[in-house]
Amino acid sequence: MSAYYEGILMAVGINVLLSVGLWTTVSTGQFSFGHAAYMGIGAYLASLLTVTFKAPLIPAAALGAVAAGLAGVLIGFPALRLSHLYLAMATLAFAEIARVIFMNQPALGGAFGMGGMSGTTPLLVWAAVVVALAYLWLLGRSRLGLAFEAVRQDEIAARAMGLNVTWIKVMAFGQGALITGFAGALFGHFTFYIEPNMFGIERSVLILLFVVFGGVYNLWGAVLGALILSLFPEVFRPLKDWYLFVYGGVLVAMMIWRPQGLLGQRWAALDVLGGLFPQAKRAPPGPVIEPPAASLRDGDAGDKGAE
Amino acid sequence: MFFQQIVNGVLLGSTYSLLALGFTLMLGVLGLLNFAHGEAFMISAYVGFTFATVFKLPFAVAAVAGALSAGIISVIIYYLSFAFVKREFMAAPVLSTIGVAILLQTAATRIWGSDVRPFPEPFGQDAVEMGPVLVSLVQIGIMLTAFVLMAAFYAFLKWNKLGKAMRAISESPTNASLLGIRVERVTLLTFFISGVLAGIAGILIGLAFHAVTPFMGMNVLLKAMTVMILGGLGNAIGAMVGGLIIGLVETFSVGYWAASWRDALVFVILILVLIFKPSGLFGTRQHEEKI
Repeated sequence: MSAYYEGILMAVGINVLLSVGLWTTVSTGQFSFGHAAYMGIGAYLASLLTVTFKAPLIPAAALGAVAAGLAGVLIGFPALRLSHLYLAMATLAFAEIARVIFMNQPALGGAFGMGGMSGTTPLLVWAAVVVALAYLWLLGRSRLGLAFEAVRQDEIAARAMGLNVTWIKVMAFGQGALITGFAGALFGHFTFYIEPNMFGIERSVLILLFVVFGGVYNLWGAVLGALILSLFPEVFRPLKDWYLFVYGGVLVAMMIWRPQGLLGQRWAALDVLGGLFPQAKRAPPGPVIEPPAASLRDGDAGDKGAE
Repeated sequence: MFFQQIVNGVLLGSTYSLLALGFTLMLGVLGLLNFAHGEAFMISAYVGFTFATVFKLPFAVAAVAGALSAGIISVIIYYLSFAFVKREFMAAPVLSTIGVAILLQTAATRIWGSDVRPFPEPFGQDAVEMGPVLVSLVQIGIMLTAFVLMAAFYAFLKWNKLGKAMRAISESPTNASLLGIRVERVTLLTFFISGVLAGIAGILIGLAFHAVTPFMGMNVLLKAMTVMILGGLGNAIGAMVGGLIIGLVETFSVGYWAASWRDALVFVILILVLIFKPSGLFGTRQHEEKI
C-alpha cells in the first residue's frame, strides 16, 4: 500500500475515533463545543512521554487518554450545573483555556509546538477504532448505556427512576474525553508535529460537524459522518482550500433540510437535539405538529413553572 | 503606565460592549446564540478597508458601507440560521450559525487573503497629553463614538416604541404578538441593528489597531460572549459594564502579568460566572432560564 493511501487510512480512522468520542458525550444530550481540548491533552502527554522519556507509543497513548478522561470528568462536574447553551459556552471557554495553557508550557514547545513523534500505523488506528466501536456498541446494550439513553430522553424522569444522573453525565463526559484523548495521541504521532492551534475552536467545530452531519442519535451516524467528511477533501481535490466553504455550506443546508443528520430516526433525533432545550425534549414521538411561530420558548417558560 | 492601561482597557472594552449589545439582544429576542456575529464584525472591517484603501473613497463613506454590510450579513444570518430552520430542533439554529461563520470566514480568506491587512489611518496620529496619559485623538473619537452609541441604544430600548417592542418580544413572543407587535418584522430589525452595531465595532477596532485579519471575528466574539454573560443576559447596562471590566482585565493582565495568558484569564472569568452566578452582574432569573 502506498504511503499516500496509508496516510488517508490513518487520518480517516483518527477522525472516526474523534467523532465517536464526542458522540459518547452527546449521547446523554450534552453538547460539548470543546472536545479539541481533550484531543490536545492526549496528543501532548503522549508526545511528551514518547519524545522526552522515550516511552513506547501504546502505553504513552493510553496514559494520554487516561489524562484526557480525567480532565473530562473534572469538566463534567461543573458542567452538570449548566444547561443547554451555557454548557456550549463553558466547554468552548475551557478549550480555549487549554489551548493557552499548551501555548505557555516550555516543555511542550510553547507556541512553536513539538515534533519528533512517529509510530502511528493504519493497523494501530483501526484496531483502536474497532475496540472503541465494540465497546460503545456493547455500552449501548448495557445498563449504563440504557441510563445514558434515559438521561438523554428525560433527565427528570431518569432522576425519578432512581438513576444517579450526576454519575451518568460525568461518565459520559469522561469516556468521551478518554476516546478523544487516545485519538489525539494517535494524531500527534501521525502528523509528527503538533502545535497549540491544532486544538483550537476550528477543530472542536470540525468534530462536532462529523457527529451532526452523520446523525446525533446513532453511533453509526457519527462513524458515517466522520468517514464522509474526512474523505471529502481527498475525493474533491480540485476544491483545494474551498472545502471548508463546502463544510460550512453543508452544515447550514443540513440544519435547514435535515437537522437530525444523515442517519437520524426522526423521533430520536428530536430528543437529542432537544437536549439543548427542555421543551423539545418532552415533544411526543410521532408526527410533529408544526408549532405556531415563536410559541415554543414561551411554552418552555410555562413548563418550567409547572415543575 | 497605570492610567495608560485604563485608557487602553476602556477603549477595548467599549468595542466589546458594542458587539455584546447586539449579541445579547439576539439571544434575548430569539434565544439564538449567534456564533456568526463576530464574522459580521470582521466583514465590516474588511469592507471599510476595501472602500477606503482600494476604492479610495472618503473614510466616512467606507465606515457607513462597513456598518451597513454587517447589518445586511446579520439579516442573511437571520434567514439562513433561523427563519428557515425548523424550530423543533432546538440545537439546529446554533449549529447553523457556526456553519455561517465558517462560510463567511472562508469567503473572507479567499477574497482578502489570510494575511493581516493594514487598516487605513484617516485621522493621523495626533495625540494629547492628559496628565500622565498620552491619548491619541483617534482613541478619544473611538471611545466617544462607542459611548454615545451605547447611550443612544439604551435610550432606544427604554423609550422608543420599536425598542419597547424588542424588549416585549424578548420577554414573551406570544404575548407580544397578541398585543399587536409584528414579531417577524421587529425580529428582522433586531438582527439588522445588532449587525450594524457589530459593524461599527469592527470599524472602531480597525481604527484602534490598524489591522484586519479574517480570523479576528471568532476571537472577539468569544470575548463578547464573556461580556454578555458577565453583564447578565438581555441587559444593555450589563453589556456596557461587562465590556469595560473585560477590557480592563485584558489590558491589565498584559501590562502587569503576561500577554500570553490574557485570553485564558478572560475565559476563566466566563466559566466562574457560569458556575457561580449564571445570571451575571445585572441579569434576572427570567433571562437565565430562557437558555
